[in-house]
Amino acid sequence: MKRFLSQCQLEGFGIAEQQKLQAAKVLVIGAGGTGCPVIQALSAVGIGTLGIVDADVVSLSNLNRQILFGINDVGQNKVDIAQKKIKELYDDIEVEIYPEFISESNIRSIFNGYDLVIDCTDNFEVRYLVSDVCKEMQLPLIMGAVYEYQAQIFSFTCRKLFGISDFYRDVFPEIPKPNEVPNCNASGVLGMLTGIVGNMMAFECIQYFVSVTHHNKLINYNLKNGEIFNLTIMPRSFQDNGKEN
Amino acid sequence: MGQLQIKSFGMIADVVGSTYILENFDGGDAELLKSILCEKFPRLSQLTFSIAVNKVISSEKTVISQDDEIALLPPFSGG
Repeated sequence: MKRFLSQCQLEGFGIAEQQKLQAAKVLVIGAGGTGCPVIQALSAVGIGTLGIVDADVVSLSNLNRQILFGINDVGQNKVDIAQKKIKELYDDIEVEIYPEFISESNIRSIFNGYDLVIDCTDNFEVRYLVSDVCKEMQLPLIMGAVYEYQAQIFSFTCRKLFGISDFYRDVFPEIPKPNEVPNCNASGVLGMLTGIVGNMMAFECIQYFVSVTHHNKLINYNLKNGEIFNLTIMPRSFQDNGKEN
Repeated sequence: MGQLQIKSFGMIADVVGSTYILENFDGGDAELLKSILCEKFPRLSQLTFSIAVNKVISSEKTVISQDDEIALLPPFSGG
């Protein structure tokens, strides 16, 4: 517990809250630009069990932002390196790895047993599948995505909305057309942005375990001007009646 | 007839601008607003975006009045 002394001195964050984090099992999908800082932040803060899903290997072009990895890791499985590095840093975190891509055939068995899912992927097919299965399994979900210097962080963690929220589909009901939205390879990305976003996602995650969440939300962050624009996400069935549900 | 202040993000801001003032808006629902904007900015009709009214994600049936704060939000893909 001494490792967490500094954060336990925060108001509203004590021994009892730390114990909740240590009992938590969190699944991170994608060990990329946002996934790396999520994994690092949650390991440092003391989440008891981290699952990491990714079938990719480290490539040279990842290294500007995926700061868990270095030049000597190029060509190796991301999840193997992530597990090794987290275990070197901390001896009190369980790291479970899944060197595979999330698909319809494996998603439920991988999700089973986790308390919360964090989506750090970069394509809409997986993002909608993750969202739909989290809804089906009543699993809280945090998502993050970037576009140039801007980012979106979604938190679908309000317990009272489980069962009626459509998660990501509450904001974007239908999957965008192929090639409509560029990914990082097409639009470019800075590690400073994914680092900030990953840490914000990790904070949303610990909020779920240590405090009551009153609504689902979307945080828009702009790295260039430092602006944050917060939005409330109501279930689709509540949206028609308007503004002050 | 009044003005409506519209804030845009991501690829929508690339088309509309990060802030845009719609003149002569006399109230209506979000679907009407979307059709007005698509007429002014035809590229918008090719893009997926969600409309927020007073910082709440809204449906196409949500009623919008002149004092409301509107935001247009596209999905982001990168991670």
